[in-house]
Amino acid sequence: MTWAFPLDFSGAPPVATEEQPESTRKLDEGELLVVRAARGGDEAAFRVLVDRYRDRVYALAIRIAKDSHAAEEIAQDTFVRAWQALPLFRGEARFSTWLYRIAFRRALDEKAALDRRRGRELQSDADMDSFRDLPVPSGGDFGLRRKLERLVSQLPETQRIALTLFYGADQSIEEIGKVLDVPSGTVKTHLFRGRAELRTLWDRERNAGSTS
Amino acid sequence: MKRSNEDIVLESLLRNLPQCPSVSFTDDVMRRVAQTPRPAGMSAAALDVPADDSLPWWTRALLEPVTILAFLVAALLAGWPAQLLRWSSEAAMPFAVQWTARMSAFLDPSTATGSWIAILLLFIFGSLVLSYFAYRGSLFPGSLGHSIERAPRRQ
Repeated sequence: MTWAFPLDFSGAPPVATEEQPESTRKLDEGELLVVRAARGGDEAAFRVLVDRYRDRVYALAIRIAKDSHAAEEIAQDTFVRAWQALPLFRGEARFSTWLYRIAFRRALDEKAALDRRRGRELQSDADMDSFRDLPVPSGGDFGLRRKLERLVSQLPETQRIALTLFYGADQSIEEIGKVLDVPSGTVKTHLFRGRAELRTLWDRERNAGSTS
Repeated sequence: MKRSNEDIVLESLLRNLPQCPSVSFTDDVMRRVAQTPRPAGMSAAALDVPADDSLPWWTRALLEPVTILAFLVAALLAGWPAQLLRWSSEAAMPFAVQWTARMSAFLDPSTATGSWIAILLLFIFGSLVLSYFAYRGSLFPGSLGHSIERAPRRQ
């Protein structure tokens, strides 16, 4: 999928490709105005962007860092950095993709620091790689959501991120490639393996539950 | 590939993301934003944010120092700059002259085409391998290695 989303300050509408769904195109056009205003220093406009993306950025952060306090700190930092760097944003990618790239880099940095701290503090903790406090997604059945979140936490990092961005953050394969800095084919592989692995874990848990 | 009902359930569950639990999150961010001036004339690198580029990864890979190094190594192996090396290093580097002369001799006309193709393939493969390691840092799936520069920690 190709996104054309130039920040054209002449007032011309953004170029929409045929592959873009109508609803997404309308959202992008509306968002373009908000991004323009925030770029010009309008804090109220930036607040709209924070409200729109706070949960998605937080979700990406917690699925990398696996710690809710760290995830909130990462999400806050992401928005502050985005605010600082917004004048440099030219709109060649979607705003969301650019924001997730900032969040991704910040989350990796925080995770490295967390791992170092946990390594020092919890050398003998066998559960070191699990969530400290498991986040629960919104909507649907609570038990299923909690179960899914636990299983997602067992996937390799790149698969978790690819699944989060693809299903939860409405990013195309090409855009996920930009966030992760990998080719689209690699993203497809992560998605395919992530889905397959998740399905295996899901089935294994269901079978274990039915036999016990 | 046909999806089962279980796959559809899983995908619908994946669409529900964990929500930020803090009710004051936006206010906290905006408070920090109000205290954070926008530095004038700063680059994306200085702010440690990704450059807003739309170049594909392989274009960016071509600009990487390791790729350029791979180009140079491949070029040396290919022997085309043998003359250049010979001219520039005759006095100071007799060993290099001998080596490049040997390389040039290796590419005799009867085997030149095959050699060039082999060298080109070697160059492409070498560039890809070097770029891969430079970007990913690891061959293990699921690991991002050290591909992403670490941002300085916020004080």
